[in-house]
Amino acid sequence: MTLLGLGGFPQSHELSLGMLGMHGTAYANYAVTESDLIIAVGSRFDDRVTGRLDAFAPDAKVIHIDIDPASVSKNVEVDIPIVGDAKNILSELNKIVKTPNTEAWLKQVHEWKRTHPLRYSHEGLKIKPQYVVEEIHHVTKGEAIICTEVGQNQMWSAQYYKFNEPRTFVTSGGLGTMGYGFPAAIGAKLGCPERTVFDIAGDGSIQMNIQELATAVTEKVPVKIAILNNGYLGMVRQWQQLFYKKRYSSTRLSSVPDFVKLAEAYGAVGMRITKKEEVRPAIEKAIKTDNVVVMDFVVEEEENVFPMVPAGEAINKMIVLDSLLA
Amino acid sequence: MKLSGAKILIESLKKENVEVLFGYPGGVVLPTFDVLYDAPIRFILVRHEQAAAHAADGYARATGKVGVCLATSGPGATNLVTGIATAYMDSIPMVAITGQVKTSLIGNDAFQEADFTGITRPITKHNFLVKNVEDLSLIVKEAFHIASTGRPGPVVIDLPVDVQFAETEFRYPADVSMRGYKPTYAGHPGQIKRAAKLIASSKKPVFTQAAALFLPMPRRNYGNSRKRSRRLLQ
Repeated sequence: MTLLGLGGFPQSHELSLGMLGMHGTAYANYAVTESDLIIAVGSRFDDRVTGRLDAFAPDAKVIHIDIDPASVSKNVEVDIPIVGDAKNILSELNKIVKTPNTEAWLKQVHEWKRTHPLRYSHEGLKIKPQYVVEEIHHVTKGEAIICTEVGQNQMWSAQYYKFNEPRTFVTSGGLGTMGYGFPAAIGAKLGCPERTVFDIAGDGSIQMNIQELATAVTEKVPVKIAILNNGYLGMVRQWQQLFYKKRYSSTRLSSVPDFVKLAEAYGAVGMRITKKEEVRPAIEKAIKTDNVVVMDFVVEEEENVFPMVPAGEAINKMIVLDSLLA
Repeated sequence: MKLSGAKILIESLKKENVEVLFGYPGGVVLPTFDVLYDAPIRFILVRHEQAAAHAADGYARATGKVGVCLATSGPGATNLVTGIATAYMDSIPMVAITGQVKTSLIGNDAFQEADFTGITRPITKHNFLVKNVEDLSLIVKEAFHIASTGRPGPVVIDLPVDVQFAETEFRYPADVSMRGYKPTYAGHPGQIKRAAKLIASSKKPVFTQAAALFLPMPRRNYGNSRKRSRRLLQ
């Protein structure tokens, strides 16, 4: 699934490979690279998905189902384009398609899943941002609507909140708009008042539309904001670490502002969470609180999002956790 | 009975079943805000117009309905730009309504004037500058139709203040037919046959899917879409 595809097919299903692309799972990227057929539904083969185009799935034929004829063969040359409504087309296709023999292939895919799982280091005393996302998933039983800002917070949400339903992941995929998640969460909560709505944010992006605390409190839209506060513009810092010799030019934000006081100034509830064992109780308390809640999770400062495909590289050439530790 | 353009706009939104509107007031949208004062539409007053566009977008993604935002001319409108561009890139159905200076002043560098149809041309699926109040109800109908059909996307309606004051008979069109805009829904049967043949002969297929947002709402038709995907995967 692409970033915007998350939720379209349950990640709890054994055939789900999660997300592909720059921060996709290793097994999804290996599977796409080795595949002999890609059936793409509604995806436009964005550069964050394909990586280096000439190395993208070199042996694969491509069937592209899309309602927009202008998206066909825009980035990746398509063998069989089918323009129309995906629902109609998939229904028609299912009536006539014969199941191919994929036994050996599935064995290989499951082997990749087993040997290259999504994971992060649990070392150190500080809270890991991935852990916060996992705990939000656990407490909400995967049934919340998750909005995100853009950057590391967005990628960790995509990787570690295992989406099972459509329309539960609200994120700015194409434009990558910081400051999107919080107002989007207000809109999502107004549209689906019976659901728990989270904005998973960074300490940088939340400040881009922080003034909407006034809107959410005044209009009584009790969204829950989880700030993964690492004191950096984390994704840009990650690029600087990996590709610019750790020259952290203009990415250090320090611990300003005090988000708890800020939340309280707006009439919302603020919490600061610094210990791992406080994470789950804080999330549980936030959900029970009938008000806007700002959770300031003070997390590991220089945690990175892995796997990572460097920009312009083939998607099976990932930087993974182990290569950096070694 | 004749209604003002502002009243026609809000009546048209009601016909489109708009329940929530996100926005921020300003000089040239005052006639519309005056009508909103006692309209049965929930108005969410944001603190910056960018948030109105994002909130309309979030509402659309979570519900599948068209999200609607409203801002004044000039800076109010330009503050929507990031939100409109965000919706455009992710194919989100949205109608953004902006005030505009009165038609006689357009192009005169009037106070809070910006050429918003010009600015949003590359980041909208379509945009309208309403010059006559007689066109307004059809434009609203077309805007919602364009935003929500085919590949969805944001549509801008730029509404000059004098058009909000002007009066005409209100009739909301029952349906809409636009020459030059007919999205294809049924897949070509020959292509579907070719695809089925290719799938049957493949040894290492993967199924990549995007735009989960356009799948049915949770807990409604969900089981079917899941089965469709799963069947193809297996």
